[in-house]
Amino acid sequence: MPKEKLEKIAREYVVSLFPVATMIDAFAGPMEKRVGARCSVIIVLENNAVTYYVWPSDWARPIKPWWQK
Amino acid sequence: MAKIKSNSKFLENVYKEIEKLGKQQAAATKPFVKRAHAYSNQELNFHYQNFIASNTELYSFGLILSLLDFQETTFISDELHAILKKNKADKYFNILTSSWRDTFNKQQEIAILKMLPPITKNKKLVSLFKKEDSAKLEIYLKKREKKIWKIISDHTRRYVWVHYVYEGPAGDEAYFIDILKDYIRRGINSAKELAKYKEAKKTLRIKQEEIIRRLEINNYEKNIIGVARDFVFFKAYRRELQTWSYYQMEFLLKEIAKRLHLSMKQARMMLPEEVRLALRTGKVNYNLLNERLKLVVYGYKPERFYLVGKPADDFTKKEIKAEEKIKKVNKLSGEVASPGKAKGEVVIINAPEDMKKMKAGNILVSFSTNPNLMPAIRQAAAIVTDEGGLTCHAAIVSRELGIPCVVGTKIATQVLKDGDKVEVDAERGVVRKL
Repeated sequence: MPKEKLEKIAREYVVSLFPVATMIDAFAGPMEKRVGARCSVIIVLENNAVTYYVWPSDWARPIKPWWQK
Repeated sequence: MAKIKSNSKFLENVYKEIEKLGKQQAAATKPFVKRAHAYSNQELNFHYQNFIASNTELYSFGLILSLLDFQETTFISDELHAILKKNKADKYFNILTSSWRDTFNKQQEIAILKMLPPITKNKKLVSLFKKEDSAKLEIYLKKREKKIWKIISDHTRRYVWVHYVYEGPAGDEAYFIDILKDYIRRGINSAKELAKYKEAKKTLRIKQEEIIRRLEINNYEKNIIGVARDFVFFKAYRRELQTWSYYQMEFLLKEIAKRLHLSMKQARMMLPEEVRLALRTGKVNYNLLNERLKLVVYGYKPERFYLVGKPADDFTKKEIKAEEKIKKVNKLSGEVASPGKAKGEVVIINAPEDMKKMKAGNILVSFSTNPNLMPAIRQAAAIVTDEGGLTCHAAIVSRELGIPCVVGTKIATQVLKDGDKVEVDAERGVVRKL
């Protein structure tokens, strides 16, 4: 099976890790505990913008059942 | 949503936590504005680490709202739309998602309206506000109109942080003078606007109840309408409470940067453990920080990692799905966030420094708007964004200001460029190149 690639979910104007990294820490830490599944987000900071990426299969688990049940 | 369905108090608890933690964080960072310079290195580190922990916790509640309505995952907007569509009641989306509470930004706008009468009753002042730039006005007001200057200074002190977002700049007197100038130029009648605001506040709940009574909906759908209303408020309010503390944190960061001989940009690129080490030993990896300023990848897989330089470049090439190549298009589609039509020249505005390009009547195109773009937003004939659902900043603000707005086009900033002439049809959610 081909390796799953990260997909873009959002982009906004931010030029540094502070304070956006705390958002990524929240997704990976307390949020994972709260929703009971991995829902980590990867950010790429370049050209004065931050782009948020996720592995779709990770997010399908916490979000879709949460929404559709 | 399962949690919302099974436990109607679930989101109420999230809202309570956001308010409690957000207010605590704003209060905890307040002393930094005046006292950061007097802290020892140990104290600077203590406050910095506390902030990181507190902000992570606040995000962990705030992001629940983002998961439910975040640019590509517009569950709440979609669910409410489906309910309204079924009842042929789409036009009530705006009124049903209007909150009973005012955000800080709304409070600030009301305060500006209240500042207008002493200026507009003085013909000379009106003329100066229309003609002069804010720097000249500032000098004049300080010298000749001390009472007006005091009102503006008090307002600035109170709302200095309100459009700061992540990194500022904070609003100074000139910034708020510019807003006043815009209101005066547009001939805003403050008494009329304030009366409209009071009337809308008084009748909003009654109107919402009337609409809900007329719709054929079950208890779950009724609950979703309530959720959507509070949701729009708390999405904005959470960001505002964080914005407030980010502004106050700037003073702590400035002090850290000064002691470590760093620029603010470099200081903002440090990780918490690096701040701890640097404040204890004075050791800073300047090259690494400079690399991060060019490109950094940060995340968890499952352990935390960050990459710079070639590894970061390789990661973005190998691990990220390439975005589809955009064909040359003359027509874009998105969601109608605020109805209306407008024609004009495109100006791409993503950051505060882009706002100098903006002229009244331009079409503001952005990947997503933020409160720090408000001066440009106010001048826009229409707004078009790549990202965003119906509860995003551009959507909320455009509805408040009555500016046509199309959100979620995905590619507007890539296919349009400064100076392009376009027609925004925010009745159909279409943007056409002319």
